[in-house]
Amino acid sequence: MSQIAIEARALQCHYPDARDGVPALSNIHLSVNQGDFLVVGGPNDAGKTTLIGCLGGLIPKHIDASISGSIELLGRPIESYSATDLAGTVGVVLDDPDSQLFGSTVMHYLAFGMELRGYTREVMRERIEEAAPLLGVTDLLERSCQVLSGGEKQRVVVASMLVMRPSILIFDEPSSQLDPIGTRELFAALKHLNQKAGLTIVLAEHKLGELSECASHLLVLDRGEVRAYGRFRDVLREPLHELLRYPQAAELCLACKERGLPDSALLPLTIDEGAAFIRELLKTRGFPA
Amino acid sequence: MSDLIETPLIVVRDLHHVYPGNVEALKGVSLTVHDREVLGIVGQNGSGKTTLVKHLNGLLKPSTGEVLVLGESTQKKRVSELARHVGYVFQNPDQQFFLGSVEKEVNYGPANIGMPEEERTRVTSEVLDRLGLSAKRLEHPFRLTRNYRKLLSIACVLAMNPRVVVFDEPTTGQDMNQVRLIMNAIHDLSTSGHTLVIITHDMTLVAEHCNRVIVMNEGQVMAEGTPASVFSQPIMLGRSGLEPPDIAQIAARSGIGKDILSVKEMADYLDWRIRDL
Repeated sequence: MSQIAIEARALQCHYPDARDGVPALSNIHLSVNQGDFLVVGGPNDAGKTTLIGCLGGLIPKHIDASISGSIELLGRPIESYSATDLAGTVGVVLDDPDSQLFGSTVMHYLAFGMELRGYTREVMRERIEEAAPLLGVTDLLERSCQVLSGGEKQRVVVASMLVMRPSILIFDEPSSQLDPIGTRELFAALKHLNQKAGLTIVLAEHKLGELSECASHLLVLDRGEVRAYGRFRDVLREPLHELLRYPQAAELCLACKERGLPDSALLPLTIDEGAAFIRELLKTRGFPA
Repeated sequence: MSDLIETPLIVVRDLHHVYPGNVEALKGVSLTVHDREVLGIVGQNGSGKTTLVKHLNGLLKPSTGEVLVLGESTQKKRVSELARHVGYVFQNPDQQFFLGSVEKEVNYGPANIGMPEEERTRVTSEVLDRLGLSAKRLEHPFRLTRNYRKLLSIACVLAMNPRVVVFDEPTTGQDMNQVRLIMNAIHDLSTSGHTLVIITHDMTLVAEHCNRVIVMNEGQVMAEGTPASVFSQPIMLGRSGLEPPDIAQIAARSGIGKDILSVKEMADYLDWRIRDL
């Protein structure tokens, strides 16, 4: 039986300086099973970062905002977690790795959280050796954090979460500073952590195309409310064009449909699916003008 | 267009730049920016793109080599002199704001070069309108969300009406509507006779808006050409941390034997193939 990793009920969040008293989030209901890979989409200002902050325990502890409703992580109310417990349960990765990265070498940075908790050198070494290859940062351990590329920095930040052995990882637009290959590498690493290590992943992101091979669910926020929520592919079938940046394969399918060309049963999302869609379409040559 | 792009506005010759600590960020870059072209500069993080374009408006000076803007070397020019010709839209807009409202921020550049008040007011309101910022004119820049701050940084540069506008990662972290807004602004600028230099990781932007693209790798120019010609070299792109836009990869993989750069182009092509064959 799959256990629930994250459950939010009637979640509402207010920033003290909000204009017109409009809540940043209202009436959010959410249930994420362990092993799910949930993408949170929607325009800027929709509340994605606020939701990430609430689920990761940053709000209201570290960011000034009031919340109502409830959040449970692994069946326990989030407010009942101590800081140490929380770090061992959920890792939060923000959009700008420089805001999280510090220390002289990658090795020191990865060890920092464990040192704070008084782990022995052996345990620290073992956990770093376990986490580093999962993110492809083994060769970086002796490097200075300052000289890493954006993609390397972001993977190092994820590794620093992993050494605390959380069962949930939460990301706020982790690819926003990355080049296309860096993005692909990061998402491939996350897919691996999700599918091989069974970690639950929640990720706010605009780039849906790159995520279509790893995501299981999609939550679409708009002005602080849930506009759509369900399995990734099902949600993309809904008319959400004003809110989401669709993968180009899907845009192509929709553009063809608009022109009155035959529709496809499966909305293509990946490059391979897009190519298959075209081959299928071209078989219908002689389609009435 | 072909007859227009022959005039060089900016010429970069054998440019080297060494940062303190002996980090060589540029290792002999030569290029020309032609009048009225939209030039994309792509390459992985750390390839020297930002270092390169900071030379175009004098924010950085060459360690060796030279940069000529409208025929004159930047070596002895102040940034304020060059700002009239080359505007720079920062990747991180927070690096440039310091006034109390959106309107004041846009007004500042024109006031600084002595534009009469009436004209300034008109330019400011025009620019704010163009970027969808009119409703925010009285807000404090740091109260805006990141995407609006980005639009504001573009507005500040447009208000100066420079001949060349350099964009550093204009679509990064923007949602779909903002990307459209920025793409429209880019399109407007290029059709109204501006020359644009765009640093980006967004290959869709390159495919749909650039006439020419330069691929940077480890401080050097690795390739140069039209988007179609550059995207047809996937191995070279991969070495530079890049890949063609999805739609170009879909076209290649579907075996239709045609270079396609945008979804619209592909849909038009399919429409034609299906109905007219």
